[in-house]
Amino acid sequence: MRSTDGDIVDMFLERNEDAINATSEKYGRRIRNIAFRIVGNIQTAEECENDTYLEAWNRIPPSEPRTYLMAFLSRIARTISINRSVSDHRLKRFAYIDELSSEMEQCIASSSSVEKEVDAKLLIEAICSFLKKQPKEKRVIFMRRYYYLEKTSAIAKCFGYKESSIRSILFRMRNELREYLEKEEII
Amino acid sequence: MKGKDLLKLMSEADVSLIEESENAPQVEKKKISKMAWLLPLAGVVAIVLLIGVGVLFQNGKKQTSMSSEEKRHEDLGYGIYLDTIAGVEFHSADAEDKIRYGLLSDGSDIILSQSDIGEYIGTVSDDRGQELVGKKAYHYAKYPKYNSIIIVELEDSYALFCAYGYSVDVPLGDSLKDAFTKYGLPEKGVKIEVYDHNEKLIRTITERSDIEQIVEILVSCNNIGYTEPNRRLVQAWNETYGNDYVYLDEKSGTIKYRDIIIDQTIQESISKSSFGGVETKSEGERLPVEDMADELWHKDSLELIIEVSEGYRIRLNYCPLARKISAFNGAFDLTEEKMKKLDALLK
Repeated sequence: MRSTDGDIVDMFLERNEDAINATSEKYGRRIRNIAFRIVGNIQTAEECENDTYLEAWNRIPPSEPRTYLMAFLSRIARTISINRSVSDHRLKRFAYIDELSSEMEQCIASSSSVEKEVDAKLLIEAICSFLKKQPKEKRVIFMRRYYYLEKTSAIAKCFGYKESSIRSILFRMRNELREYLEKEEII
Repeated sequence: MKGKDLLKLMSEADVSLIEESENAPQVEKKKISKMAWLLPLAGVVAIVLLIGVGVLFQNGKKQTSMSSEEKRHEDLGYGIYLDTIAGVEFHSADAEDKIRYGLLSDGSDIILSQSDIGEYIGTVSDDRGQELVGKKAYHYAKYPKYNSIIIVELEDSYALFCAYGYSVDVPLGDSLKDAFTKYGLPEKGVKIEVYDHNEKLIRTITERSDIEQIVEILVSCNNIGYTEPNRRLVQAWNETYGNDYVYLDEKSGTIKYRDIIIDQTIQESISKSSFGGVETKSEGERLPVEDMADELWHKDSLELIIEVSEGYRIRLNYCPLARKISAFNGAFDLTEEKMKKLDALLK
């Protein structure tokens, strides 16, 4: 029987190395999938997975993600994988990250001519607040694209839409988000 | 702040948003508003269908449409295990599975019917949510021999689960033999798909003798870890470009890059010598070392997917420059002779 999230976090807190095995057994496949979607290479995805365990080991304690261990790990795996993709400059993946970055840039391209220093903490809070006001479907589509970095074609298949529909949903959401951020004086 | 920073910042999104979106729910198409005039007719059709379903399932069996229980299970993304198949974790069908098993019709999930339930395959023995332990699982009738897709009987409906294959760890120094034996290779090998480094399918091998020969080569390779293959990649860089901009960190066994941008003169000569005349960057643009190394190392690499009769798949990466096959948790050593044979069979 596999350990509960609480058990695993306890093992991390006790500095018990079995925590890594228990995490790998329970969430390894999902962490690998997140990394693979971003880096597009099995070996690199596995390296990112291992780095994720190491980072979790370093962060627990002080963190104690008993109730959100998978989300905690996915955040780490995502950050490590994006950094890896960017630093490795893997041509194809790098281009993909660039594509996503330029889409995201639309959300913070203020119509004002004055460049404003953006507070990252306020910005992410405002984005989350905006997303929570959206219907669940749109919210999940946005997260699948910009958190899990999924291709629009894959999202379209999951949701039963044409790819062009997903692209226009995301386009409208990016514009609405930019307007929201301007209204909230974040950008 | 740039778009790339914002993309990274999304890692700090609320846990609730991350959890909600981790497993994309199968949302129905919502096109009711444009079709409102059809609603009364749809009601009539629904009644007719309900009567039909009642007639079809009058023996007390359940309909296999998506229930709230299944949706909840899918949202949670639980992995499950069966008592009859050790070491294989089943997960809710994702987009790739749905395409593979033809579970989508015109972009929407197909609704399974009673006739889709095949032979009994086993009982759920482990489930992270503990909700499915003890439930019975069946083959998907469309693929009666596949263990890689199963239907689990719930209280009032059924749920689909899929598996990639066995969880296998190959210790350092060991060959792929045990792992492949677990999959029943070469006897159970059905096909090998070969993809180039751009993920383009270049060949599907179905000839039994070819599959056997490829497997024979692969099982003779031992896991040597990543340090030695990395050393070979660095050596290939040195031999090609005559500098140490890329080097091996002996302590960690990983490859490091010097923070250098190659100037245009060097880039041009590289484009001609190693990219076969294909320009990958616009004129005047400078090229980081990592890009050059990646192109050099991976331009000839291949992705192999071996499928066995139970439907399980093994993914392998073949990198000729590193003389290695990456699979499971290891890097497996290839000799020049083995690579020659492998190339002849794959290309």
